[in-house]
Amino acid sequence: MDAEKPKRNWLLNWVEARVDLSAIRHFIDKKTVPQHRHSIWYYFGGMALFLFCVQVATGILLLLYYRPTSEAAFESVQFIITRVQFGWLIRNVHSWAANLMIGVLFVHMFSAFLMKAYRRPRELTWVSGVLLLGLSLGFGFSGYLLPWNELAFFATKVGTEIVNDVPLIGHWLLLFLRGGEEVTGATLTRFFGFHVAVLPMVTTALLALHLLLVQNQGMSRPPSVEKGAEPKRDMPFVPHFLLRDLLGWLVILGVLVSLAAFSPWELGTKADPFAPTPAGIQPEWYFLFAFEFLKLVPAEVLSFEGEFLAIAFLGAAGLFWILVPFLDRRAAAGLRSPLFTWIGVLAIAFVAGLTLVGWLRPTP
Amino acid sequence: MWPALFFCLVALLASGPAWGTTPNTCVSCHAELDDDEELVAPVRLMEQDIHSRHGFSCADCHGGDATSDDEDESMDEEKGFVGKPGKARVIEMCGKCHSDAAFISRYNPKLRVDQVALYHTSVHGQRLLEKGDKKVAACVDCHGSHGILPPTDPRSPVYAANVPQTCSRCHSDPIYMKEYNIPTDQYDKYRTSVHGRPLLEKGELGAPACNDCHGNHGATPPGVSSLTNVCGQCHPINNELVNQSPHYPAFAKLGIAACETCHSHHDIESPSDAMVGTEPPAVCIRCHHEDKWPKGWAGARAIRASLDSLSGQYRAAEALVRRAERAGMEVGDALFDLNEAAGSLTKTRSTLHSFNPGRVEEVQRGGMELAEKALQKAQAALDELEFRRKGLGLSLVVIAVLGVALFLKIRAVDREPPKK
Amino acid sequence: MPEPTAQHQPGPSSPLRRRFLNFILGSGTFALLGAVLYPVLRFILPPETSEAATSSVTAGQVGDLKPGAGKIFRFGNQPGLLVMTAGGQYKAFSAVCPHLQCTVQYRADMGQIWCACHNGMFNLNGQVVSGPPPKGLEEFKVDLRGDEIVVSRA
Repeated sequence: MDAEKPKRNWLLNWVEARVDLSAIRHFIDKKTVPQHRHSIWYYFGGMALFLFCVQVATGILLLLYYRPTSEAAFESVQFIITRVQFGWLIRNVHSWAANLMIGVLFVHMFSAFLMKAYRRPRELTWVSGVLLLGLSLGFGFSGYLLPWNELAFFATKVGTEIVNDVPLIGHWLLLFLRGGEEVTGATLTRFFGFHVAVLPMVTTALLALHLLLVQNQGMSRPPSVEKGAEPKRDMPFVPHFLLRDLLGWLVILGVLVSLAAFSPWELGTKADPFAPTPAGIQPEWYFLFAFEFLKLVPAEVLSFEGEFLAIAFLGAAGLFWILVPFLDRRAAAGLRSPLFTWIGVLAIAFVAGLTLVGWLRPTP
Repeated sequence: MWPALFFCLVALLASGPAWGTTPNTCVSCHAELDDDEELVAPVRLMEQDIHSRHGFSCADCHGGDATSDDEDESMDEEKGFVGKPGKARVIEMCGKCHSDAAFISRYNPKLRVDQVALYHTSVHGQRLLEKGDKKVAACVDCHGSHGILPPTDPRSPVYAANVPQTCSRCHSDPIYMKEYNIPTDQYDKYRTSVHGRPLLEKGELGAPACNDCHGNHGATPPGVSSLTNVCGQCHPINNELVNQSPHYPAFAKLGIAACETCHSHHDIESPSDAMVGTEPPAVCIRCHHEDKWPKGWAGARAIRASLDSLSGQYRAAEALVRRAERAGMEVGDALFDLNEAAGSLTKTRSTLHSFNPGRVEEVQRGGMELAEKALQKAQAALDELEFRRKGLGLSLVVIAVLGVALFLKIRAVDREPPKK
Repeated sequence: MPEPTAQHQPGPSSPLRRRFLNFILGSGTFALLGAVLYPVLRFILPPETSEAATSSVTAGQVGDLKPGAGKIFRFGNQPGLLVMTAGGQYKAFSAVCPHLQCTVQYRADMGQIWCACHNGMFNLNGQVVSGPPPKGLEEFKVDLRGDEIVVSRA
């Protein structure tokens, strides 16, 4: 490339003499990204990966000071943001990046859906992706409780209450999540374990699978482009696409630190399990659509308990969503599949619409 | 034989209430007089009475014979029977035991035995025993006659939080009190006062009730010269300061009581800085007219100015600390200093009772320093916030520069011919 | 984002411009790395008070107090009172009077703790001796760590 890297070549030679880097070389030389009018969506996967790395890094830093017990959790977060040098920055970046990551993940998922990237041979990529989104929501839910403040406590209480309505195993699920009948310090410790050990482990495994599949199979083109008359253009991943990726990540980094400095996350007051539930408790925005949906469904529908029906519907919808690659026969055959496009649009409208309703609902 | 004996025992035990170790004919008869509330009520009430709990019963106070079934025998005056005693007789009845130290110490060694003696010195006692006034309060009017509970029992009419209501039964009745020519608005005034509200609304026993200032059994309104001592029981510093101040000889000459002149006595309000100075509603200008007592007038003005500048400084410091706190900054140290400053403000307000502007200024200076410290710490916190924003600005510049360079690099790389 | 094109765009692509661009990129990356690593490194090094002072705090040094003297220290956000008894024992209490939350003080002349607001008196067990306070002062545990007097919640 350029003349100013003799050192790297020396280092590279030393490593290559011991380790076979041909796979990496091949990747750098050969990997391409399709270029078409929908290419912009390709950036969102890498963006989510970048944000995930930010989360891991800031999360590990927070671990140096955080204490996962109901007596000390709140105070330890307060300590971090007031006493530890740049603690405010690390904590706020962590909180904001979590939200941004989930937002980016939704965009990544819906764009992949609408581009039918799930079709054969990429079914497993899709399945692992949806599971990864579920894991991210788990990260969000478990992480939200960790500061042990009033809002988080009640949001967790309301959120975990819902699993009770799952048939047969509902109550055991509740006990499993809460570490008991009620939300207590035991819940906090358990959620901490999920957040820093269980979820990272499972996510790493699934993410590795997801990325390996993508590298192995290359990027998919939407059927419209695939079938189109124009010549297929590709952009080399290194350096063209990667540089653009980096620019995007840089912009997101700027957004993150700006949010941390100008719109810091409030800590609020310490959780008091004996205080009455404050009015207008809402979960985080990424659960809002499900929460609003549960509120919308009437208490009784045709002799079935409303909440049970709502959960059943959401569960069925989720299952459908994961199995889409196997259900969309037309896309699998490489044909246009307008039905599923409409299903995708409806899903987006459903999620976005209900989220908006929840957001705009006046807080008492 | 044994079954018959057993039966008799059961019958005996089942007859009538079980208090008192021996069967009590007073109780067994009076318990059946359901049609006359006045005669049957005592039986019910005595079940709670502290005297019953110690094994006393009807005859121990009323005399007579509690073992006889015969009405005339059991209520025989020759056996010492006293029916419903008159007020003076009540004092004697109660005093028979309650002034006997040796007797009382068999039941409650800590109980005082000077109530009757004190009562003799009280206004109630003097009117009853010297003028035969039967309208005044005697023992049973406050303590009850049957069902007497110790004063520490919240159900007792002489429990601290109940005392004002007990006194007001007579003292707030204008018809009853007509001939005495004293006001009947004390309870109404007290209820809204800084002492009355915590006691009556929150049961806060630290607040004084009527007896804390007027005495219990020796109930007498404190005289003009002793009023400050009474207030000084809980407010010793202010009392001491006033006694050392120029107001003391002045008030003594005028024959007015110190505390009461500015703070009044039953309707004592929570004091405010507005009470001090030369603008209404200050109390100083009631006497200190600008031309008549100019030195005092100037002093009042100076003291108020001192207070105002300290409370202003405190408020400014508090506002800044809260701002920094809301912005998420660490303000623990500042809050602590603010707490100390608040204490200093209270001390300054207390010191004004010396009516010495110089002394007030001295104490006030300490408070100003503390408030200043808190203000500076809050300002430091807000400066740190500014620093963070500047630091952010700088890193955004770095990001922007790098971003532009990256953008140009992308363009340059795009322009290069493809490698393959 | 600009599309890669086969045509050459008008504009200099001289080696100098390239070197300059790469220099900016390199130093920009360096600066960014520095801007990221600096806060991270400062974060990792613990602050002066190594933990939140809610459950224990250093109230002073041995030698700060003479026997029969007391001093106010900060415990969390509230004042605390450290007393050295005539016998040389350290005692610590919450200095917030349970009556109306004034700050109490140690009166060496009385050998007791006194609240100036309404004449409340407490003995050296924190118990109310006289006056309006409804209950005693919360007592804290005192330990010595070298020369430091460490006060913690009992």
